[in-house]
Amino acid sequence: MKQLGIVGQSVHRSDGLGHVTGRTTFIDDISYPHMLYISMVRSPVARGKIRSIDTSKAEAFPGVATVITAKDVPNNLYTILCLIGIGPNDEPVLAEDEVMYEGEPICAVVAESEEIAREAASLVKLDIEELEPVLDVEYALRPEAPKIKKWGTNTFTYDGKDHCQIRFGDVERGFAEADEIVTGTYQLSPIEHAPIETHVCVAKPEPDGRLTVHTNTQALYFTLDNTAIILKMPSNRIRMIGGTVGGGFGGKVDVLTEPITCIAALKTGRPVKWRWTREEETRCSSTRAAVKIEMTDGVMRDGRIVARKVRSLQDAGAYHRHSPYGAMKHMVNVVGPYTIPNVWVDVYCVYTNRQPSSAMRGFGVTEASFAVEVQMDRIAKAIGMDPWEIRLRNAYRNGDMRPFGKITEDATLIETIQAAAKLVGHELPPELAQMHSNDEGGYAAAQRATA
Amino acid sequence: MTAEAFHLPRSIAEALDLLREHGDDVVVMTGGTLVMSAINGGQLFPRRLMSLKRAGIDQLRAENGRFEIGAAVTASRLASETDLPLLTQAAAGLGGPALRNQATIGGNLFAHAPYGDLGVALMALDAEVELTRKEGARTVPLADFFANGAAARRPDELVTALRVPRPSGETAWVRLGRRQAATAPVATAAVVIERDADGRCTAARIALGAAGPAPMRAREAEAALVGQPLDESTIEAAAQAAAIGCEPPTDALASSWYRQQMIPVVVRRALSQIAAAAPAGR
Amino acid sequence: MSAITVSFTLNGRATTLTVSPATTLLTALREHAQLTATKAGCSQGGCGSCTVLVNGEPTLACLTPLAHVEGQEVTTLEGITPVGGLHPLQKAFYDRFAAQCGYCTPGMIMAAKALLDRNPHPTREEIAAALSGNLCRCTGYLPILDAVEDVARQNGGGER
Ligand SMILES: Cc1cc2nc3c(=O)[nH]c(=O)nc-3n(C[C@H](O)[C@H](O)[C@H](O)COP(=O)(O)OP(=O)(O)OC[C@H]3O[C@@H](n4cnc5c(N)ncnc54)[C@H](O)[C@@H]3O)c2cc1C
Ligand code: FES
Ligand code: FES
Repeated sequence: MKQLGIVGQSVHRSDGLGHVTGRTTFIDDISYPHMLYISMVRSPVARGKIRSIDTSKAEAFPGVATVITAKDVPNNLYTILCLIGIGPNDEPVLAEDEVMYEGEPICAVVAESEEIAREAASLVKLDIEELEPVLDVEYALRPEAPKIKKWGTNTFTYDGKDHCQIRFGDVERGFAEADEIVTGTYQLSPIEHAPIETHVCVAKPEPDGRLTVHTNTQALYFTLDNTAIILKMPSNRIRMIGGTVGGGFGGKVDVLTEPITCIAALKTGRPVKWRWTREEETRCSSTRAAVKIEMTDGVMRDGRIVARKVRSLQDAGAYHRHSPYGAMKHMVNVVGPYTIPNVWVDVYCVYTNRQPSSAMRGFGVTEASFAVEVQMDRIAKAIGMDPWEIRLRNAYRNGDMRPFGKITEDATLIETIQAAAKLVGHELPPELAQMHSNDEGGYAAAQRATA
Repeated sequence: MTAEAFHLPRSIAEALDLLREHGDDVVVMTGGTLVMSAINGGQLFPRRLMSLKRAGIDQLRAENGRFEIGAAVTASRLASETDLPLLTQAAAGLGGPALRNQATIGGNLFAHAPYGDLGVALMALDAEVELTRKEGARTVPLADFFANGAAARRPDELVTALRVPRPSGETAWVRLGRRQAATAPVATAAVVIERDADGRCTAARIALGAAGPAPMRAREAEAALVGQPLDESTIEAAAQAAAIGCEPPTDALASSWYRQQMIPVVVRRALSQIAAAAPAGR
Repeated sequence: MSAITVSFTLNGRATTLTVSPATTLLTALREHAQLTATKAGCSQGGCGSCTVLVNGEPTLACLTPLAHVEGQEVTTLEGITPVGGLHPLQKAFYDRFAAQCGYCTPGMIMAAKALLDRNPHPTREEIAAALSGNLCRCTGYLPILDAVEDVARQNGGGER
């Protein structure tokens, strides 16, 4: 084999020296003379109608430059998914007539220091008529639940349906033929990314009318496009500069700080910094979606899984962010890397009055894997089979049709399991140790024959 | 208006003058760990700040078996410079190492639940708190100081010292958290037991933390112990009795309900520790 | 707006800063002294990324009013970095991949330095205890313990 230069070597991080000396420039390390700071006034309730926002006391507070409300936002719609053709746009940059989650941004106080901005923000008077919030995904789907979205349902609409789905083979026939039915319900709480660096953005108006924007986003070009759309400004007038991200994990892909910071800079003609507090990072950034997965499998005594039916609810929280897309990723992954001839999957992207959920490391997929693999162990137990064997028997092989209509070309599950067995010193029986992803044999082939 | 002044008085007399002069306008701190985090978090907007850090109340003296501890003594110093059971343990487990260099024993008496670890240890040790105002000082047993669920300080007084006797019995400190270090308690028990030659409890003091708005004594649990041998059934009775009358706080780490379930657990563990050790005097 | 003036020694140099009264040591370092190695992760005492040394003791700069360091000696990561080189801890963090995103790193190194100054050859448990107030979301902590242990070993300890 050709000698590799880097693979197999330990190579220092290119940013390592900066990190250990503290010379790496993080966005919060960037300051400009004469800079202003933002403190955000956020919704104290999970759901309500905004009757009025009185900013007069905050505006009169010494050291306050301006207060920004929805009226100041040229195109008051947060639009990340419109760039990939998913709509309707549902999230305002600043709340106008209603609030949909506790912590939703309402108005931004811009002042000479963070200390001043914070105190002035505490003086904004909100008059909000509290409405019954929807906080549970199952309740959200019930007819009696208040309909919280403007379009009159609590779900994202996929092709005219309230869910996205897979229909493959005939699950009812599969269940009828099965020796055992194994069911499981799997639930996960929302997870916060908790980067040690919170969201930070610095925007500086330039004499030529352009904006220089420093942001710790993980998605620079998404952010540039979205900010331009929100500001109604051609993107060539916004110089968006990323930087070292002090921990992202998917939590810094939503365009949450840049539009407001730019508007503040344009409105005041001064550089502006918006640095989230730890509380904002925890309670107002996106999280991984909470999920509830109900899984029913029809299983033969010889280990074959002959049918799987899944109903899964993804808690998007109050707004889309990346959740409608995450639900679709979830849909195709909840079958797992196994060949099952009869599959029925319904995934609902459900809205509740909770902090919006969005991207986080394999979102949609990780949750599916958790449910699928616990389910595999349950199946193994139900029919008295070794958990290694049940996985290898059902593992997908190259050439197998996936339930979402794609022929498998790059299966590696068998080899991965075999390697894992070696690493932990588990000896597989020869039949299993000799399996290969290119095999025609195994249960999958038998299933292909009967399907 | 944001803060106008930061006072760093060099004596308690100077501090008391400032307190009289500015009254409610002045926010007092010693270590500042709670006051500064409230300011940073946008929950407190003081006009004036006064820190007692340099007010000459940071002495630590052992005299006739009693410790006299200035209100500005930090948790780090308590952990390394005193050898009082319970208090040393509480101090060593408070927050992380850097926080311990800042957190003071005086400030701890005013910490909101579930904080207040030092207060819990002090209560079990039957400590007294010294409160000073311009007219002079008064000394109050800690149990009375916290009797109404909050530190009973008059507006013109400052906490200047704590007096702590060395306990004569056996002690146990059990603090349950969601991780092993640098975390607020879920439930805490500090126990002092005296036993006679037959192993019967002759006196018991049990103080609980994170069980109500301030550190509190578990009087019913204490009563269940006195006159009894420290066996399994006595321990169980005391553990169950400890939860009576508790109103634990809810926060991000634990619900009130969960804390309520954990109170008997920490008390049981503390008493079992004592029971497992060789009985006193034998 | 009112202001206070505070004089202290910062990384060996006499320093005087004029700030608004409630200003923290953290803000003073980062925004007034332009020393940005010290990081703000929470400003609540919860993460340790703002750890600096005050008279050699690890201290949370976010919870320290600047007024408290009047006449004291403050050391930040900038202050322990030799010109054109690395402190042994910095070298070990670099070699051991103990910094991923790097945001917790300055606080970690300062907390570790305070430990090693007091106890040149701590055990792994003592290292973990000394760093227990510092959060890292990236590394899983083990490379950080390895790095400090390396330096402890160079000091002739860390074996126990
Ligand atoms: C991250 C973090 C972790 C923590 N972990 C713990 C923990 O594990 N256990 C625990 O018990 N606590 C914990 N605390 C709370 C707090 O740090 C401690 O209780 C500490 O002992 C408070 O002392 P201080 O001097 O810093 O208080 P300060 O902030 O100075 O003051 C706190 C309150 O006490 C009043 N006060 C202070 N001194 C006096 C005085 N001499 N006379 C009258 N009033 C006074 C102040 O006005 C203020 O209301 C934690 C805090 C933080 C931020
Ligand atoms: S910023 Fe100081 S402890 Fe987090
Ligand atoms: S390296 Fe990212 S938080 Fe520690």
